[in-house]
Amino acid sequence: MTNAELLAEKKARLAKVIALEKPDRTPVILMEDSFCAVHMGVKLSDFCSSLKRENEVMVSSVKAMGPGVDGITAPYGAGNLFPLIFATKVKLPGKELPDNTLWQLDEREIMTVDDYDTIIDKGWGAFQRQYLIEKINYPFDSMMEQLGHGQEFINNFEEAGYLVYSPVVAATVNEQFGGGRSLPKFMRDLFKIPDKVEAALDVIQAETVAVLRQQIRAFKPQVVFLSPARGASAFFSPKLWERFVWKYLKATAEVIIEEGAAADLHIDGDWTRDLEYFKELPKGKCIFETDGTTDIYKIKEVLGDHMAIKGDVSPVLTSLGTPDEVYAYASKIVRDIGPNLILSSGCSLPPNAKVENVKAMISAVTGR
Amino acid sequence: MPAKNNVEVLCVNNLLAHAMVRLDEDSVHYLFKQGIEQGIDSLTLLEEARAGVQKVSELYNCGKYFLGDLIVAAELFQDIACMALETTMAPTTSGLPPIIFGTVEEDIHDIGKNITIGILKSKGFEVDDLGVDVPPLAFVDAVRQTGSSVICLSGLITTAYDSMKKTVSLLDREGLRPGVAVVIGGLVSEEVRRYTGADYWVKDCTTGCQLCDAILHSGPVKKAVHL
Repeated sequence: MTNAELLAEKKARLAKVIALEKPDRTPVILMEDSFCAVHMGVKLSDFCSSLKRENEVMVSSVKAMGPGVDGITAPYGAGNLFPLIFATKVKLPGKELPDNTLWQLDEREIMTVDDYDTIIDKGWGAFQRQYLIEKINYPFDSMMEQLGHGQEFINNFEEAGYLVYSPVVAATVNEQFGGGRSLPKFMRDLFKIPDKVEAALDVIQAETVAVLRQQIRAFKPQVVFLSPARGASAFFSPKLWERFVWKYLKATAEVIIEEGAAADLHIDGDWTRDLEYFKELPKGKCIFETDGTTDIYKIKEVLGDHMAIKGDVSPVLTSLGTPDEVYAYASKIVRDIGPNLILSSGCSLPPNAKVENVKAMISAVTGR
Repeated sequence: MPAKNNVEVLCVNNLLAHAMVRLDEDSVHYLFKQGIEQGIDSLTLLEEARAGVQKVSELYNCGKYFLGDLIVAAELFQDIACMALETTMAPTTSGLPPIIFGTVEEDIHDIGKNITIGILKSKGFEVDDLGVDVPPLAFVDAVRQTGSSVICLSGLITTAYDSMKKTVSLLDREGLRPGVAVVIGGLVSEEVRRYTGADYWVKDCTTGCQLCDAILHSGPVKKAVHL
């Protein structure tokens, strides 16, 4: 089988799972970036020096895992892109952190209450660029130039016979303020000035969705990754959650679906209370991607006949467990969740996941 | 300054506690200032704010309030504690040694840590916050200097596990381990507790606070699992 045929087979397999049909086997999608660097013996500082370097290392890592892997979540790492999603600084290895320390958001209040008014008056695009360059010292133009090579990065995986699961990445707009204002200050704003926050979010949403439509038309992705990273039900009262999380999550997912892609809902944290809401999204068009905090069995119970489920081998298991333990858990969810499952880690594979544990996870669907 | 009377004290106090429970920032600030103007002792007002946070915690524990509500309550209490400090020598504390708290080496996540510290302070505990990316030796030095019997290690990435383990090992090597209960929090589990050698693991802020309270008031440290 040629790489092109292999790729077509993997895309068809994924399409069946998303459409709630029975695939020939459970697909395995690796959600990874820093793990690839450690796997390939590359320092994290070297890895995140450019999107091109990240892409090279990630392609090598996936190839080393073998053809049983269907694909990878994104064509490059997440660290360099965090400020675009969370409007906050990211500390990078080799810069603010030691060479092999994982990149991390440096969350503090940078955006001010007055910035809500600026966004409402002048729009998000103009504000975001200036804010990121001046307040966060983010290499905005360089990053846009690098992102312009996105198709090349995707091709590097596809030519090797691996699909890029979600070449287009989006986040719900509340993340911009949860990061930029800092989570505690954003929460205070929701109580003190909710109308102003909502008005600013509406401005960001309108512009973000317009850009997202263009990206989907350009890349024609099978799936678009949509992260409401800190929108978990555990954070918000139902009233605030409906107004400041679900409203934007639902609207963005509907745009993704309207443009012909499936929406991968990257669900970190505990969303158990609000699982029923997800039935409002079209059937067979979404993937509920759980990090394991929302119980995968509960997701199957509520949404199993409505959307595919992706997850959820835990980072604790892949970093501290044994291959037998990982194999046992992965095999169990493959068996119990059934044909709607896309096997993956719960959120990203951690940098210190053991290679033999990742192989054990893959072998739960390809055989040991 | 107008003379205070019992009716005014009662009014301001009740309103302040209620405003805290409603998470009404403007009213909380206004009522504190109003209370001070009426001649009410700032520590009395601080105790009312503390009672408000306690009620918010209770509502969180029974599922009526959510993590965001706890965050806002802890923030508002910090506001009041700062305002009280401006008008008096110091807010009241439990009189117990401080709880040592920090995000371990190579990890800079601090949201969960900060919320937990805010609630602990609202309960009257003294907390020695060492910040983020804290090396093992800094935890050990803090225990030595303060005589603390509770140390809370926070971490949200898996590479934090080794930093937690190193901290526990260093406490052991320095002969401090028997007198100190080590609590880990964040992305943790029983497996992580065993790996690191900690005594307890918690995944949420209020459980962490209840645990610290129980440890500090139970005398000798008991080795236990998740509360």
